[in-house]
Amino acid sequence: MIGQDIRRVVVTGLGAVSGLGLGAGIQFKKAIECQSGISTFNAPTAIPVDLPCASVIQEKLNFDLDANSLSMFDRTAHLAWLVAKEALQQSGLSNLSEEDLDRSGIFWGTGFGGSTTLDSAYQDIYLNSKQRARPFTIIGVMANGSAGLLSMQTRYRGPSLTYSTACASSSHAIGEAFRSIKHGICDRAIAGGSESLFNAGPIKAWEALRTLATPDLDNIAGSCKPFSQNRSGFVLGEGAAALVLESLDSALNRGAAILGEIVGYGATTDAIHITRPDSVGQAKAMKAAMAEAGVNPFDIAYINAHGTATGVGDIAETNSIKSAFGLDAAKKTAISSTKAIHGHTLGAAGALELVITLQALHNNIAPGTAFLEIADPECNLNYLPLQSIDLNIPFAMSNSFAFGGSNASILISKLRKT
Amino acid sequence: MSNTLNILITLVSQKFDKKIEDLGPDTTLESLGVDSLGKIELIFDLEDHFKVRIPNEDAKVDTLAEVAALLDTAKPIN
Repeated sequence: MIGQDIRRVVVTGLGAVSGLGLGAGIQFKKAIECQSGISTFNAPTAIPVDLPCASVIQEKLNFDLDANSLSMFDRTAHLAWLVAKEALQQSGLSNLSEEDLDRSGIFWGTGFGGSTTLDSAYQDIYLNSKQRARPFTIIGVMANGSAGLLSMQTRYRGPSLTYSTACASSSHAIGEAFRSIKHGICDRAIAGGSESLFNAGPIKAWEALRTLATPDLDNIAGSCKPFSQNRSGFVLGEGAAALVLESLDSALNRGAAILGEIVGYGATTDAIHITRPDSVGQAKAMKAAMAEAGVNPFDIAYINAHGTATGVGDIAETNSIKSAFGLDAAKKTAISSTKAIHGHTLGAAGALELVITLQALHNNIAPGTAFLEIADPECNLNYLPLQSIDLNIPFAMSNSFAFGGSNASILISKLRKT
Repeated sequence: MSNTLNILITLVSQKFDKKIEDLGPDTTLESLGVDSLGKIELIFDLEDHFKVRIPNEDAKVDTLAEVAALLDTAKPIN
């Protein structure tokens, strides 16, 4: 089966949760309304932290897991199952044969892994004078805890792989799932990412790096201002998102509703600096995705940008889009960053933004960039300030550019006739 | 039954949501749905409750009576 033919890969299910709410649909609804999920951060932490604002999941969630899984796995894994279950329900995939289960994979992304479990263990030892950590600490902390839980919940027995490439983790997970199905390694996959790190240790570490936004005291919800002249950095977000991918034949054979098609994936590395983004490497990722799909830049109507609202990041991405698309096509393309409203969900970001992008494509509405009131002259592309637009979107792209110099671009289309 | 076994049965009934009358010295951990990982977690909690430490090599127990005997002979912590 492997490598015998090239298959088309479609999306048949979406799931998501973030500071915007629970469910894939609410992410898109808030995105097109430019409504922010960012608020004052007041969750309890083991020691005081200086985090003025964040995008935190507000709902009390029902994970539909047994007591053992709830105590053994981290919140990151619980969120993974929550969104995977939503995506599976939408896809209608169930009652797979033993042979089909062997050809079903899990591709998951997370930046920090089981942050809550690790922070809890450190609290026990360093703050509460306990002599030992709880027995399940390793299971909760390990980065592939989410993939492990998903495999046991679904009984998928093909590859279960975890990608930890900081802010591009879940884009790589989805891209690699796409490749695995395209080249016949598996027939279907759950792909996505999850992140939950509102614990004292990680927050302190982010504070120290000086990349977080200064709060907008007039409007805390608007503290993240991608592509704006007065942008000051990103706002941390908690979230998870999942997609069900499958071969076109698999989806057609069972009469599944097809939400879109993944047609290209570019993965490149800057190999220059561990944190400073490089527009050359980013442009190569976008070009690779377009080349794989055989798509002209003028056909790409919408880009969901990485758009973190850092000083250098937004300029680098502006330049990389110009380089990859050419100036004329770049200026014509509608571009936005939805991080303005859901914050930066790090390892979940690529999946969450692709879930929004797929719905943009499906509904022909390009979400605007919230809180973009004063355009930065160096970010002079069509960044859809403050408002979403109706737009025929045959193709759309989602970018994720990570610390470590890892770049990932994913190109999607409506189901193509050919 | 020993005092340790009585306390153990009470703790186990709470932890696994079982009726005390359904538990006895011959009740096995397996029958409670406790696998190898669950046994490690259970022993961890029992060590804290009884303020003892059980070496890894001694934790090969299956029935509640065996667990109670293990706790009675375990090394107390200060």
